[in-house]
Amino acid sequence: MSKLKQIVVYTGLVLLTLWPLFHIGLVKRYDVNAWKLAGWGMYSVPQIPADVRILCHTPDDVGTYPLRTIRPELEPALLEFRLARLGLGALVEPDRLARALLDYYPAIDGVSVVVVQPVLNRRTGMIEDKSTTYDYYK
Amino acid sequence: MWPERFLSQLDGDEPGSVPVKLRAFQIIFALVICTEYWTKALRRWSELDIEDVTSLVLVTLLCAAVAQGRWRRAACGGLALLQTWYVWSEFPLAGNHRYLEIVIAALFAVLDDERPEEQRLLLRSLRWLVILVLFYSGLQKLAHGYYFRGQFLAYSLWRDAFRSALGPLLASGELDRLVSYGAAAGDGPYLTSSPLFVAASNAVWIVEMALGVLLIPLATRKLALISACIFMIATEAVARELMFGVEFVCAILLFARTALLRRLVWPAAVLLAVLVVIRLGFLPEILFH
Repeated sequence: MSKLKQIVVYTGLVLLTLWPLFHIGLVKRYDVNAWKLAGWGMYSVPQIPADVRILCHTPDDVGTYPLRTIRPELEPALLEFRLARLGLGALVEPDRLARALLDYYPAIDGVSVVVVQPVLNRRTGMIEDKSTTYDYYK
Repeated sequence: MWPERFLSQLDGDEPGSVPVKLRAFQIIFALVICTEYWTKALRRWSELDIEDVTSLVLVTLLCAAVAQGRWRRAACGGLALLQTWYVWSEFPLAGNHRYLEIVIAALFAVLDDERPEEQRLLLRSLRWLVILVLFYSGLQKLAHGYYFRGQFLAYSLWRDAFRSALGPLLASGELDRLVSYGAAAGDGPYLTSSPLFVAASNAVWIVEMALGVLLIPLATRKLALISACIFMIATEAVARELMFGVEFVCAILLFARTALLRRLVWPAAVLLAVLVVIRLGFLPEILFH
């Protein structure tokens, strides 16, 4: 067996052995989905999709208002963010969604994307919402 | 090399059994991948696009090549690429077993199973993957802390299979209470007063980690192997990830001293064929992933 082949296989096995430890850190620090990304954390954490709420900011008297329905043209950007968020947690920010919203609605000068993630509190056993707001301006 | 010395602890096979068990596992592994694609496609047959059709044709040809044997290494390379494409197209939501299949297929492609030295490394690597999956499945549960008081399993009772398996451990009032929650803010507490339920919850991560470790020494391997198979069958009866279950039980059986796996190729093929027939609608539907 060639030395190169041995090195490739052993390096791969060492990386596969260390990755889940890093993965645990990502789950704890960034809410990355424990079930995904080869960390072998299936069934270790409840997998609850986040709710995404959008607030539009205008420079006039209307001020800030919630965007209650999303236009079909913007749905792919919203879906892409939701799916990415479900897997990668806080490692993903809604930059493309916000850019699409700002481009689509010329009357608004800013947008806030609020990610409401239900989490099971280990201590109390209660479901609690954990909100993160991302603000974007033109 | 130190990894070689370390992995040599995983040896312990009847003379002549290594190539037989590797080949048997390789065939079952390829059949599982083929079944995964077919059962997934049959569920949404009318919506298949060109990518789905291409991947179905490819996976069928590649699996046939693995089973036939002559071009098995190249075919395994193809399966590794196909699964990489799948993970990429589903990223980041592809299941963990897809990553495992990439690694297994890549090992079968890179290492020559006809050369004794590479055969040994192949078997050691596959065994090490089994240990990693078992051990880290337990460690993740320990690290995230949702099993100490049964919180995760209490939350999971909304699934029929979990409710059927774990419901008998709870008083009926408590089961009704836990099932009534909808995983919305303010729901809970997902806690239980049943000591049996909490014990079962903690047993899961303890058993997973222990089995991972106990598969290493020869002295405990046989017991660990039998226990791991029983544990996996029980787990998959609840989780219903049947194809991963078949694949992983067969991977655990790579630890057997003899070439026991050879006798399981046909039963595994029949079981996987039944899953396809169920998806075709010729047998009653059962829930499986």
